[in-house]
Amino acid sequence: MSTTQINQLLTFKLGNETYGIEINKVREILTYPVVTPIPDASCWVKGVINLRGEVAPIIDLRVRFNINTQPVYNERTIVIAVRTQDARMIGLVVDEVSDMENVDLDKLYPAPDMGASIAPKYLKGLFKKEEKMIVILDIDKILDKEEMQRLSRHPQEAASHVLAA
Amino acid sequence: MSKILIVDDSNMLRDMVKYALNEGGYPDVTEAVDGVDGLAKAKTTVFDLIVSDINMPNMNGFELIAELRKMPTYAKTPILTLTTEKNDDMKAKGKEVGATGWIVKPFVPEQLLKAVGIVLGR
Amino acid sequence: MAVFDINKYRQMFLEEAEDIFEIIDNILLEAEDAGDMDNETINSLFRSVHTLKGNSASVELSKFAALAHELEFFMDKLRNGKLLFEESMASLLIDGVDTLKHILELELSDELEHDYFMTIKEELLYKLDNFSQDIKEIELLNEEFSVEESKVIEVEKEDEFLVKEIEEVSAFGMLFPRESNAYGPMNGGIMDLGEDEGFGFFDELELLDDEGFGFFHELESVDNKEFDEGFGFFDDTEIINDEGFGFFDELELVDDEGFGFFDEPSNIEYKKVQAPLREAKKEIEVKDNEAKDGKKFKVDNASNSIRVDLSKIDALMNNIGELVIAHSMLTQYTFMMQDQKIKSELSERLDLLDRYIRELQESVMGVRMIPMETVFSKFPKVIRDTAKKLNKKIDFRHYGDSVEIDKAMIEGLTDPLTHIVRNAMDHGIESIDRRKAVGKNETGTLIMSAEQANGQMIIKIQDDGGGINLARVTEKAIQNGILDESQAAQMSKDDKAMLIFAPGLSTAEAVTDISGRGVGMDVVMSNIKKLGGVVKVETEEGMGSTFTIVLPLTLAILDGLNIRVGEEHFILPLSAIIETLKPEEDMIKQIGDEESEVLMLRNEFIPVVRLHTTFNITPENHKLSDGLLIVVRSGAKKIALFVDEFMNQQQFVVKPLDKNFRNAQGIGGATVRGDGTIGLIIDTMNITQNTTRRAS
Repeated sequence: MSTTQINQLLTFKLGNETYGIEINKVREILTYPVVTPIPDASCWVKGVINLRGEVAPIIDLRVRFNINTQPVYNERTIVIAVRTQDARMIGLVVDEVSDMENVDLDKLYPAPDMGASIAPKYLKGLFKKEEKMIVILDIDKILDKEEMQRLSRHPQEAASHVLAA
Repeated sequence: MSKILIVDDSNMLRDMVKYALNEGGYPDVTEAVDGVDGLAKAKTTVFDLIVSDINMPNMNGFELIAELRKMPTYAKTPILTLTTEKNDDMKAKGKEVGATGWIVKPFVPEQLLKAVGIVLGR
Repeated sequence: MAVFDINKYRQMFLEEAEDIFEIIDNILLEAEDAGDMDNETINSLFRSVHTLKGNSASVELSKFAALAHELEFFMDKLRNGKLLFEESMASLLIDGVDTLKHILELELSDELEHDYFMTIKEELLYKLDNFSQDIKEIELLNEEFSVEESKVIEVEKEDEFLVKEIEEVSAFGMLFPRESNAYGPMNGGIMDLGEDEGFGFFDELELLDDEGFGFFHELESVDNKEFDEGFGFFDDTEIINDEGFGFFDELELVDDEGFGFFDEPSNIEYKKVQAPLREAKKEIEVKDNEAKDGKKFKVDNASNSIRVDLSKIDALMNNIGELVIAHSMLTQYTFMMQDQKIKSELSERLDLLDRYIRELQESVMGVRMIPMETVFSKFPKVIRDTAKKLNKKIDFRHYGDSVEIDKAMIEGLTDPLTHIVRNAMDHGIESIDRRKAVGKNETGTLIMSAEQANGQMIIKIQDDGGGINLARVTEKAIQNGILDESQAAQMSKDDKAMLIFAPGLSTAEAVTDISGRGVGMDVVMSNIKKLGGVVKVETEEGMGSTFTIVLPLTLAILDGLNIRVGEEHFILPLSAIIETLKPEEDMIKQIGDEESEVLMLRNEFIPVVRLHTTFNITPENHKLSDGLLIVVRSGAKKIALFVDEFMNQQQFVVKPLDKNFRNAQGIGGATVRGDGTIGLIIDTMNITQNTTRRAS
């Protein structure tokens, strides 16, 4: 058996750039549903939806990475439902879903330190095909539980609440 | 395709046996958690082979085999016992109740498959 | 070639082992108390250890298995009446089982040194052998047995070496050299061992040709052969037995394949060697076994249950949730129907469907409920060990064993309960001398109880110790800057007792390894809160303390009230609601700045929380008297939530939010509504805290 790792990617657009995530992470692609907002949540957390019986948060990757901070949500808005390594179901809002690509994960270019909208620690690498360049996201890093909590923590959370009880 | 019933009270061992059987080309495997469960399942489905633990709550392997042998459907069905107990008692008792053979725990998949292959005529 | 995923199976083994250890511990603790053990119990003990041995060997925990084997061997003697139970054995066996757990931990983390293991094993064997001396006396009565016993001893000497060898040779610690001891001598001596290993094939020749020997020891089969011969366990013809499986002479098989050890002439040779010794005793042994089996049947009959992964039940609950949604969509659809006759008939059937769905939901909920006994049964061992370490005497009692609790709650409950129990034993119950000095019984009492009342689960842990020294706790709290003197002066006795749940407080003069440096009681509080519960403590100096934990009956279903704030809808748990009212203007008082409003209700001042402010929503009403107030309970305090509208009351299937987020202030969970959207459930506890903080 060969040791190269061929993976299928689902590619999509955030602004003008093309990004990809491994297809085995993707559970469903849906149009923007009725989202229940979570009070006081970070601006990139649009709220929660019911996804196959699970309460799944909807995260707008465009807002999360400052690609578009004032996006419009309508019936053409696309959500990619992914399942993280630790089995959480999360919906990602993207601009448009493009295509499937076969990628040899061993032959990626390393993510550049500068230039991309998304910090290298959230990337698996770059993949070039003809003229196209696809940035492969490390979805488990982006959606890491602690990372998300760190980014959305409220200062009061840490305060003692013993006396109030 | 051979239908196989595994009877063991240990979730882990059932999973191991099932895994070994699946890998060995026996995809149709049903699990039962004790003799009572095994007997109930054997009554609703005709299995080609039964692999049963001995030391189980509710109804042990010997009791199960004895019950199965009373049923015309299972008069000649191969039944392998899966057990740590490998003494004469076990064998005498196994023979007495009509078991086909025994497999000693712990087992490696090859052993199990070899034994299963023989009784299923593969 | 199929290879077992050892890590996966070790995990499964661990889960099963935990349960088995609990059974063993409780049997032994009872035996220690009673000073006696009946046959059924001994059998059940033997079988438990036997299962541990067999299963651990299957996941390559060979040292653990070897040690389990020693205990099994000992228990087998008890079981066979070769050894009589003595009071002191229970304690020895408890220690033995602890050693087993210890070895398991080390072997799993790959930190078990061979020398250390041998020392531990020697120690255990030495202790066990002290009792075994007595056996020999019993055995001397039977000449035959005594002869065999001498052979056994010979084998034991080689034992260490064997274990070592085998571990090196085979990935699977397959052979237990002492297995031979366990079964061999009683069944007819060492000559039998080869066969006893489970190898005696009926199709000897065929297998020999096919495979030779050594399924067990594929890699080193030659070595094994030598090794076997070296000890005279197997004679040459029996090496085929390494297959590890065998067949009883079964009908067709005998004819077709030449199987059939017992009957085949070709096997006579083999049989001859052993027959004289074996045949005679087999009869007795088999009879014995039958008697035992009969008992076994009875003992285990009580628990006709299966083990189901909680996630499977959750999946089932999800499916039912989907069913509820589909049902409500259908109901919605009937509203649009023109034909009144069809409409009413359809509605009728939909009502029926609704009832079935509810029943289904209830049954599935029932599956999640398990008796509190499961929780309590973890404690005798904890208490015994702790009491031993602290040199205290404790009488542990528990009530409400059959009260049912949501299985999902147990995991979150065990840690806080253990902590409270340890804390009560360490800091609560006094030393024996102290108890005598104050005129108490030298044995302290610890009572755990569970009951259901008003749709809630109430668990109490009560001790008759010295109680909490409130003065000292308050002093420490002031020292640690948790509160100031004037605050302390205003605090009630109960409020002061609650200070023990503050981080960093410990009242014991000497920090012990039992309950530590006051780390943990704050964790107890937060763990209980995570379960949607509250914990209170009442204490009486010199008399003892009572911890009361109040939990919702289930984490999965909640009776809630739909409320509206501006455009948003939320669900408020009915259990938290005290009353709802439309306030008159003169009931509202302003305190200090305009932010702090209180509701004056029958001489009580209740802080008002504007939900629209908390949740940052544009409300419909700004004036309190235009909207509605809901007085809710949150721990010991009350607050009044300001909302725009109350809607319907309904049951909701609760789904956790915290799998993804913990930052949602005042939101405790979520549910799927009839239209398929998500509804958020308000956590009144967190809202209270928010406003208290904001106000201060």
